[in-house]
Amino acid sequence: MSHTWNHERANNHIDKKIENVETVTIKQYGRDMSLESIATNVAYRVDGVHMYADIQNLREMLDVTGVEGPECHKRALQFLDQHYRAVNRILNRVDARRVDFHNQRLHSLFTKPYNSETDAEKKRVQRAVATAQLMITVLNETKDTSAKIPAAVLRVGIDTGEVLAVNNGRNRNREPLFLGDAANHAAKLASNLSKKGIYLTNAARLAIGLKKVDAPQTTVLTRDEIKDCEDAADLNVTADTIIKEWSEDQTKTPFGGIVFKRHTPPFSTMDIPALTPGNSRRQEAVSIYADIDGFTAYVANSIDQNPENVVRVLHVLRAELERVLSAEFKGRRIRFIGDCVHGLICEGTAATTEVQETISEATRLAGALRSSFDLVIEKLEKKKYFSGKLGLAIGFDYGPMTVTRLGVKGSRVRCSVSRGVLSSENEQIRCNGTETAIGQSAYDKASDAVRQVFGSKRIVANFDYLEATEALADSGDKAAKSARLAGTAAITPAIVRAQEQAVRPYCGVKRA
Amino acid sequence: MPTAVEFIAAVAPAYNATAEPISTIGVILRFGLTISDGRTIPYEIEVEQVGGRRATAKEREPINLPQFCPQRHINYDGSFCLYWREVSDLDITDEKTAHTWWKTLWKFLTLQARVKKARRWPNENEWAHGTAAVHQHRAELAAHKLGGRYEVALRERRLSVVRNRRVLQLFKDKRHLYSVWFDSKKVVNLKQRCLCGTTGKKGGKRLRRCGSHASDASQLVAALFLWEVEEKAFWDSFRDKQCCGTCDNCPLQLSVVRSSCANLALLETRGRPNDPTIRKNTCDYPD
Repeated sequence: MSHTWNHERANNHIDKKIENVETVTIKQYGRDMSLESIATNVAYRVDGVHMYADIQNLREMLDVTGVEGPECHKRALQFLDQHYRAVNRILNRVDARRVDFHNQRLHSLFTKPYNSETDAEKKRVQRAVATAQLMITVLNETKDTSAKIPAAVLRVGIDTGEVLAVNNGRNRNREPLFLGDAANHAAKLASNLSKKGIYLTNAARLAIGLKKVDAPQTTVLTRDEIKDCEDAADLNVTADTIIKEWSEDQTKTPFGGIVFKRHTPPFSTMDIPALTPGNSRRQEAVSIYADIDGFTAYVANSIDQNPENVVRVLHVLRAELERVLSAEFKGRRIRFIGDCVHGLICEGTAATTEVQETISEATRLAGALRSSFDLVIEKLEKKKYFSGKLGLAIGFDYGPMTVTRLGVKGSRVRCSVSRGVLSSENEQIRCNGTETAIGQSAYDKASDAVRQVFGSKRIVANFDYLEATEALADSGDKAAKSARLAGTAAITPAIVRAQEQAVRPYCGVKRA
Repeated sequence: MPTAVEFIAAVAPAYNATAEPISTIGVILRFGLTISDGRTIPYEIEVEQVGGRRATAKEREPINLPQFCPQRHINYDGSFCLYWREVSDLDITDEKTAHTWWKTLWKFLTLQARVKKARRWPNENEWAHGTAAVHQHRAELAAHKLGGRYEVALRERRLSVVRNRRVLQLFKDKRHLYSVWFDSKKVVNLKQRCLCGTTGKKGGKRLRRCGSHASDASQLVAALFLWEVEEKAFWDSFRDKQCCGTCDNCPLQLSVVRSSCANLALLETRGRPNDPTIRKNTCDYPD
């Protein structure tokens, strides 16, 4: 079945979403306020320390077998589950807030001690460093040799500063999202995949009395510097205690093993909150990442003068991108990762995935996301809610995908991990704000029509819904042809034939 | 017998269009171009009969399209270049041929809607500009005779010719395929295995013994070289004309850059295939 994107439908939805955020209130985050269910049109200014921890050997886990079969996925998920549980336990004990686990990436926030205390920022950074070291020590022990689960190799990035907390997610998956330099810089330090260890931004270094350095991303904290922080923070919990509790937890509620089932497409009907390791999903599908290019700089420039507009732009863009993914193309949003949306799409039956159709529809979905993005920006500019330059970088790839929820019962986090997921993210990273890229695996399996669109470099610029649908339909793609028919208003038999007409224009008249 | 514009007007309702005659040889077509994202773009197209059976079309006022843009196949007088008369025919002699004219116009305008976002002509199915189209046609015939690989590479615009002293070198992307003597137009190494890959009893056939392929290989290179030369001549004739700014990498934009940095070594040609900023060698190559 082919899906369509419609200009009028997008227009109406965007108008509605803009209406929702006509009035935005910015509040100061105070003692023990809840960040769990922030209203759509409210944002909190939160002063705190952001810590990102990246498990560097997840890719290694996924690459242990030549073929990406269920066994390698099970092992990777169990690996993540074990470490999620241990990290969860640590964060609870040190009174930090888990913001999100996004596959191999953990984001946590330290707001305590509050600014009413003296040297509050220094104490928060010290606490974060001590916690990071505790995590490294614990995750080095929470391996399972018999199940071939290795220890996690961690790289941690820490920054401090004021950010804006807004509502993230939808319905049963609401959680706060933090916008601002502190969160972004910490994430960038952690995801720089070079060496393990703890890395602080200059702001965080200065807060604990360390010298400013030229390259914070290559300046790992020394053993002595960490020790100073551990002593000052006095976390009141040791690695041994955590490991002991974690082991008891593993005995009491052992990991029951991963059981994979297929989900009958479309993915939009997948009930992710009902998933558990024993009721996980796995099948061939397309993973797609769409990231708002230039958003970090936009937030940095606007967060002080006009935070209301930042909330408006983010809310409207994300709501519309999600609508295109879920309502128009019947895909499934896995999560928002800051200004990025990660989704899955699959065409086929309960038993099989229609490979080429899935990739063709993902190609047109990428076009639809760009069309909606452009329309949102146009409308926000008209309303004077936005000025500047933002783009959308889109990457997707095909392969066996998993969807499940991991971690401690009651606070499980959704997880979709596979080689295709990592590769689709990498494809998105190589794009600028006007480009769309297809992964090698999807390209190899795609129809000639799709391959022609992307070319041998597997990347195309300014690729919107109209271009995607027309280009694929002109090259004989059946789903695109039927979408073209369905999407054209007031169509007559003559217009249908005109759509199929081959035209080879010329321009022969030289200037007189 | 009705005239060409009368036939066009007669079938207009099939495209939800109205036709208003403005003279014995002219008509204005008003319609909404419906496209696959659900939008309808209102158009007023002025059609004028040329000769007995031909018709030209242009937007009455340049609202949706630029007044002039060779990249978008819009002539200097604003008329649409829907086809190349040397190889195809769009004469209107009855309702069937009027429908063919309409379908071509409709598709041409749909392609224009795609250009607006893509900022380039959306596909490779277009003729080169001016006399360059003749050489493009010759190159296509030669590539067809040499086989699918050459045909596809040409269609995907991956072939390029670079002059290196006395030879013309053919490249596919950055890979050298073969060379042709500039003066004699013969392939430099006729003993090489034929480009088509045909095998005989003793293995791969030699190029010089494989039917017309030696001549086809030579013609392909010559045609590609002259295509480039004529394309440049076409754009040179509009050197002082303002670019409409709707397409990226338009030679009208580049000509401004080129004239301002003509002395820079940037524009050296040798050994750099597929570079749009390259100024090719002079056009004294014998046809």
